[in-house]
Amino acid sequence: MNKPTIKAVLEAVMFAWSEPISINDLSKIVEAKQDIVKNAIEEMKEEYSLSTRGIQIVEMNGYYQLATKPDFHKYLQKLIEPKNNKGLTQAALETLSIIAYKQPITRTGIEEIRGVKCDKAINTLLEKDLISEAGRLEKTGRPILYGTTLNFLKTFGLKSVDDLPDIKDLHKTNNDITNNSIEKDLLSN
Amino acid sequence: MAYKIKIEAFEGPFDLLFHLIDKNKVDLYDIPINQITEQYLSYLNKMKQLDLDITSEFLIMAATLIEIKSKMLLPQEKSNLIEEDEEDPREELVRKMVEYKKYKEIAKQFKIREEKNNKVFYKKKEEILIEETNSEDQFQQVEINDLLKAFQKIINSPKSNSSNTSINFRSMKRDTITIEEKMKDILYLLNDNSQISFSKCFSNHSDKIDLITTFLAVLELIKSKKIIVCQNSLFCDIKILSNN
Repeated sequence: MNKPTIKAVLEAVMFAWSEPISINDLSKIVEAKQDIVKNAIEEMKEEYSLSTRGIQIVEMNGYYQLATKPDFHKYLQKLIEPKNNKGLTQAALETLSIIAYKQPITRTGIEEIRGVKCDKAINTLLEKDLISEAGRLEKTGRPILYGTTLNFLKTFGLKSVDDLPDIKDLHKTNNDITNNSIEKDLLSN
Repeated sequence: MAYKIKIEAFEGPFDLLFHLIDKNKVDLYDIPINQITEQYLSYLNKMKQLDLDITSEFLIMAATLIEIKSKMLLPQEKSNLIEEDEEDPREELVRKMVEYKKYKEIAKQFKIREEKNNKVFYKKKEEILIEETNSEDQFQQVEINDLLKAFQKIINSPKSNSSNTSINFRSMKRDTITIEEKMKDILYLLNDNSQISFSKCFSNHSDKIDLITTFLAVLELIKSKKIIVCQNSLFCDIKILSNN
């Protein structure tokens, strides 16, 4: 299969499948090596972004999916009935950010950082498929460990967990926390 | 003059403490513990007056603050030995607060990201049905469950219900039709037509007994291999063919 054909097939597959599909599956479908497929997708991404196209390829953890470009949201809005979508609550967002950076982490671990109970927030996140169980801690009681999902990356537009904003950069924005012994202490943890 | 009451919702004791620290414009690393503890407690009192639930976490924090305060009030023992690190009683609290603040900041960023990404639309996955091409018989064999579902559809259809729902009293009726007769009927129908649809078998009947008899007749005919039932695709009508 030559490259233009591979690209066309990839486009068709991603359109029809409409769920995140792994590079592994894609390379099996087009019967080409993964790096060739990856290269083709990167080129397609560029083509989508350069020319006036309404769709984009979203990447998350080596999975790919077609989506609309955010620029055209205002047009799509005309078609869609507005629904009350408030997004996540502050509690859920705080819990989610702790899980994202500290995963895998137990409920107690999260509660220690937040200083409040997190059952409700965790349930909401599980329901929304933003987090999932990531095994159990081999300690007394074998508590459940939580980690983020593919849907989490999708919802927050992240390529992978490594793509999360750097915690260290965050500190620099807080003037009051620089040059402090506690700060260094934290970073070493 | 009307009262204006403004109570901010706090996610937890840390949240409240940060609010107090911001309000007093004090350094996080040098918290005036006396002042903050007082304000913290008065806030808890306000919550009490408003009949708000004070969760145990808030009380634990209150206890911690008071503990720190009392530790700081106590005269420090001046030992002859030079201690390297005289631990500030506030240190652990501050460390926890800094840790929490990190995630509070990140949560804010997440919120922005979430809003931005809400403008991106994905397509829902739809059911993709591809016809099997390898089998010569283009009709797929129907499972017993499919038959049951189809029968339920007919039983529940308003047509068959309407005649019975208004009757409160029930009377036992002699079977007006037997399975054997019904089987004959179906086979007779199949003589004229090469195939009949499952739902058509029932179209003349409104009586539940009739429906059940017909259904049993169909099952009996399948069992004795006199007819074949098939369904072309999911949820479409089941067809009955004679097995010749």
